[in-house]
Amino acid sequence: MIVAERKPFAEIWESVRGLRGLLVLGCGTCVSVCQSGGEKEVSLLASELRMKSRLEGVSLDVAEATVERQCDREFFEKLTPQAQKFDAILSLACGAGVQFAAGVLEPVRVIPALNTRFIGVTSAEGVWDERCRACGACVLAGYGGICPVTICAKGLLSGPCGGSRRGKCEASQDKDCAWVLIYDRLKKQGRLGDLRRTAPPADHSIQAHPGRFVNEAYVSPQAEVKDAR
Amino acid sequence: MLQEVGIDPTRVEMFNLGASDGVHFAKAVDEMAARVEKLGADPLKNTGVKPDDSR
Repeated sequence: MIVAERKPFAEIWESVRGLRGLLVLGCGTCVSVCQSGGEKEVSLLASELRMKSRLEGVSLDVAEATVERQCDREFFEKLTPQAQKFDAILSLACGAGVQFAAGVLEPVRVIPALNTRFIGVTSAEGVWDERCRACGACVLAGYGGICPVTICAKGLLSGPCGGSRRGKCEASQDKDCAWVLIYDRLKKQGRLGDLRRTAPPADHSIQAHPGRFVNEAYVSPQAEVKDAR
Repeated sequence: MLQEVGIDPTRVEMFNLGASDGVHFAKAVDEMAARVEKLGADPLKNTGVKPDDSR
C-alpha cells in the first residue's frame, strides 16, 4: 500500500489560514491502513482545527467526510456538488489522491494534509517499511522475493558491495544489508546458484514520469481519458 | 495533539480504574481538580467564536 504520514500541524494550519469553510476529506484505503488519513484521523484533525481556530479567535467552519478512495472518479459522485460550497478541501489522501481530487473537484482548491512516503507494508503495529520503488521492471523472482532496488541502499543487482558489517548496511547501521537477506532467503529455498549470474544494466527509461499504464482490453472506445494537465 | 494546537496536554489524562474502585476514582478526581486549578481556566471557553458542530 501507499504509506503516508500527516504533515506537522503547524504546516497544515498555515496552509488553511484565512479560509472560512473547510472540508477535511479522508481516504478509506491505503492511508487508513497506515493510520494517517482515514475516518478516525479526519475526525481528530478536524477537532484540532476547530480548537486552534477558537484559540486564535478566527472563524473557521470545518466539515468532515471520508470516501472509499480518492483515486477513482466513482467515489466522488455524491461529494462533488457539495464540495463546491467550501473554500478548500483539506485532503488526507496520498499525493495521487490529492491530485485526482483537485481535478475532479475543480475549481475548488484541494490542499494536502499528508506527505506521501513510499509503497510499503505493515511490519508491526505502528511500523511501516518501504518495500517497492515502482521501478517498472520487477526482478523479485531472481532474488528470493527481496528487492535489491529498494532494500539495497545502492540498488545493486549483481551482488553485495562488500561493505556490510554483521548483516547491516554500510550506508546505515540500522538497516539490514539486502544482500545478506537475499543470500539467507535463497539458501532456505535451495537456490544459492542463482547468485552466480550477473544482472544486465537496469533500464531506467521505464521510469520516465509521469507514467501511464493502459490495458487495451478494458479501454472503452467512448472513454475520454482525462490527463492531469 | 493538544500540544500541537497550543493547549497544555496535562489537562487530559486517562486513569485505569475498576467500576467498584471508588477510592481511586476519588483520588483521581482530586488530582485532576488540583492540576486544572493550577493551570487556570479552559482556554477554549469564552473565546468569542461560536464552535462549529458541522459533522
